[in-house]
Amino acid sequence: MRLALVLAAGTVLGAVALGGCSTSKPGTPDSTTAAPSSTTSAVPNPLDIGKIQQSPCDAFTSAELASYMGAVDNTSTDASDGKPTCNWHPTDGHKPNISISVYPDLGGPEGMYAAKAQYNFFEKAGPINGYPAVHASTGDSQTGVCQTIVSISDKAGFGIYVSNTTPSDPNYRTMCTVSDQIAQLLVGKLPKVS
Amino acid sequence: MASIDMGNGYQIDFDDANKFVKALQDQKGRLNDSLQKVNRTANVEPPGDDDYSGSYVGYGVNPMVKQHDDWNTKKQQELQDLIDKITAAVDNYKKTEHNNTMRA
Repeated sequence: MRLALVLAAGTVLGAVALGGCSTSKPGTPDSTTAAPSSTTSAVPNPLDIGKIQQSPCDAFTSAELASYMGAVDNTSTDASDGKPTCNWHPTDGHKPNISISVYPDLGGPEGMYAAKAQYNFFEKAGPINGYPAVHASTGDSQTGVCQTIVSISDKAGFGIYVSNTTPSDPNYRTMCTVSDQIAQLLVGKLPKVS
Repeated sequence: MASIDMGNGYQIDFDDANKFVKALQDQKGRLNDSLQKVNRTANVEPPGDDDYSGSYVGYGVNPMVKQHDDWNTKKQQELQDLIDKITAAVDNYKKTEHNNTMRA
């Protein structure tokens, strides 16, 4: 057992040292060095988002979202890019829009952090109910818009996107506080992987 | 029939105002969906593993995404301003009509 741990540690250190020369894509496990996921899972207690992936608008009821966006006027869906999404639009245009996107191939926390260079605003968030999370946005900051991305297994994750163009919204400059709360709500509802 | 002056020579009838507001709200929703889609697809893979490909994503794609972000947000704000303007005009008209009815 000790020998196996030493070999595993050596493999990881070697992979880190050679990282600058690697030709593999970030977040893509190398079959020659990857250990079984049952012993090296980066996300303990993985959650199952399969049901939401099939039907993203079932993630929340209108009543659950009412305290964040008031009454829901309508919803729209999109899965054209392989990331099933539901958008909830408010009746009052001064309230936030809320969306969920399922990321079936997020790549675990490593894949999630690797996306940093491709967002204009990106920061590590506090764990969402114990699960690794980041704040990401194409804007400069979390003013008016924020997406909380949560890694809920070694593969999948989801993003809660909240946006509002009305500066008088009390959360306008800190939209991540809202997306974090809604992400917590969803994590609390998802079943564990059986 | 009473109408609302939209500026630039455009007017809409009060009876059509609600339908027009709904159309504007739907358009604003579509703009929001577009912005949301950009945010979930911002995770652009570099075309290759070389340094130049990484730079392309970091210095080429992100500024374009930011420009779209700014444009989209501005258009949503303009639509909301128009919605607010029409809604206020309709409310004002209804109040005036109500007061006139009370006097009569």
